[in-house]
Amino acid sequence: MEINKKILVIDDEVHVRRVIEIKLKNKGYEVVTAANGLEGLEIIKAQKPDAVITDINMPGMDGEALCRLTDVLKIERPFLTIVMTARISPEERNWISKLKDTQFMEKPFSPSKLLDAINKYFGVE
Amino acid sequence: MMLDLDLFKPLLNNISLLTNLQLDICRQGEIVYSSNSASRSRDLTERIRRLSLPKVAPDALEKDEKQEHDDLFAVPLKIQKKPAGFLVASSPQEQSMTPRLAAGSGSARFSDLAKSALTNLAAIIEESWAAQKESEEMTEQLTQHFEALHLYARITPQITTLKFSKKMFNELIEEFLHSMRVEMVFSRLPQKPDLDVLLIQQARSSYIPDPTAFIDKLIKAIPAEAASIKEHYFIVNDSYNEPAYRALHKLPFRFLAVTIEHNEQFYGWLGLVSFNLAEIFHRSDLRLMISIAEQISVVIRNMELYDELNQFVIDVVKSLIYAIEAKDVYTRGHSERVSHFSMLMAEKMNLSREEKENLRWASILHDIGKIGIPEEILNKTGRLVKDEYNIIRMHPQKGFSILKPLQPMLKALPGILYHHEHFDGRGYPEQLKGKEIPLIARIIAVADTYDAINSDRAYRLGRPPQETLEIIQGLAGTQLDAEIVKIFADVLQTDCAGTGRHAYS
Repeated sequence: MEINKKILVIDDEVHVRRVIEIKLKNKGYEVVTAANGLEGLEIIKAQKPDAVITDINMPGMDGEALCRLTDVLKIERPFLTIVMTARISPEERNWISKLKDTQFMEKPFSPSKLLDAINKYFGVE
Repeated sequence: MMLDLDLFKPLLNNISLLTNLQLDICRQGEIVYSSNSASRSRDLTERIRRLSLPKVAPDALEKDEKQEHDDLFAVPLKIQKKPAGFLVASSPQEQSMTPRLAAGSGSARFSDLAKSALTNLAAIIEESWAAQKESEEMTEQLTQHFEALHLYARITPQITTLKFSKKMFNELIEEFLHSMRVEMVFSRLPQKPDLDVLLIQQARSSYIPDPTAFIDKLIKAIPAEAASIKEHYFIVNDSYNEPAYRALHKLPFRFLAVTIEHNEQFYGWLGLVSFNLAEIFHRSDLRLMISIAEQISVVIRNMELYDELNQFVIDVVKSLIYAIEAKDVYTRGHSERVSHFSMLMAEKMNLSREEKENLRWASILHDIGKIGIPEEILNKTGRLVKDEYNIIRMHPQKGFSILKPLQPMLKALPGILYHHEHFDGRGYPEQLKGKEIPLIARIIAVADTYDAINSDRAYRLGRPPQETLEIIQGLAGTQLDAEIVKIFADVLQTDCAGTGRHAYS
């Protein structure tokens, strides 16, 4: 079955992108991927995904910069952002808590938990 | 599994145009690609569709062989040697065929060249599907590794902690339920029932009305002689094939259990149950289970070591108590009685776990400082002279100094140092007053005073319990905290052994 939601996955590690992509595609989501924040930002502007899953530590534009930049876009068009990070620090928790529709998930992450979080946001069983 | 055809569609379209043949690909009874579906008769469509259905009718086509009929040429598509569909060429409109490619001579309607091209194309599609399938399988494995890594990351920090709380354990098992894609996860540790956990997927809870009894039966049915037990696991992938398990549930289920053990020391089982027999337990599931069970066993072992260490401290403390009791015959059993009464009061007062722990140590050790007092003074039968009395009065500070180096005793020390302070500020050593005196010291003071009056001493006989209680009540508000005396009176009434020292001697 198809779910009419587009999810953008941003991570500099290809196997992470691949695992998330397949997990979401098998559920029926449409998935696009990017390898860093800058690529991701362009896709967000051009393709308007319904959810963004992003790593924090990436070469070029990192996840924090991306989240801060896209937070403004959410005023007009809300979408979910899931930030993935190893060992969340209090500072990270702090800036994440201040952004709209933004959750975090600790790495190493559980693909099934990630899918649950996405399903929950879209009300998918 | 979704097999992608997008890559081949332009090529298939081209070949269809070139040969003037209608091309279709069918899979599991569905036509997943058609070069031009409008130009085909309904009957033919149905036949193509049925090609890829499992064989039911006697006249059904052979699945894995090329088919050639008047109006239809079909090449099987296989993935990993298993039938996965057909590439079908059909020519419903004989007259429009291009002679060069399509029409053969005689009865054959499909030229050898066309057949060869289709066969080669089918091979390329198979190759591509096989690669896709392999890639998906690898991704699936990778996904499982991610789940495993996530679980490891969750459990590893627990190993460094000495206490594995029920809550943490529960969370861990819940993650397990999640990432193993089963309906039930349990841990069964006969020696540590507080770590027994049982989680069932909400949607499946009706399958097992009495899960605890079900698990009991599952474990009981594990054959001790099974070869896998030496490898610390036991698997049933279909309960219908195992007589011992078949009887346990009307539905077939699969069951995997691994032992939680450390250096031959058996603690219990970690197990999974699922009613979804479309899946089986894989080697990778087993590996993950075994290593999680190993980690859990290390945590449990750590907890045991911690408890042993704690027990060692308790034993050391007991030795210290025997040391004072050896010096002072009249205080034999006194420390334990004071501790007993103190803990009863703590219970009644609903003190926190930590406060109770501190009180337990302080009450049992309150007189430890008497080790430093000469025996002649402790056991003197006559009245003490002022100097002797001053020496006796030093035992709280002496006790404090003796125990100060013992880290676990740190929070118990105020109870020892101040158990001779009086509520009205006329006690010793610091003449603290009222609530300035730590709570545990005020509690010990009541229990201590009661037992001292109730017991025989070198210079007098003990008073009976009722009389002792009256004396204590007379001291409420001056020497003792009136609120605590009241609690003590209640406790003494309800304590089944409350008739005084005789119960403890």
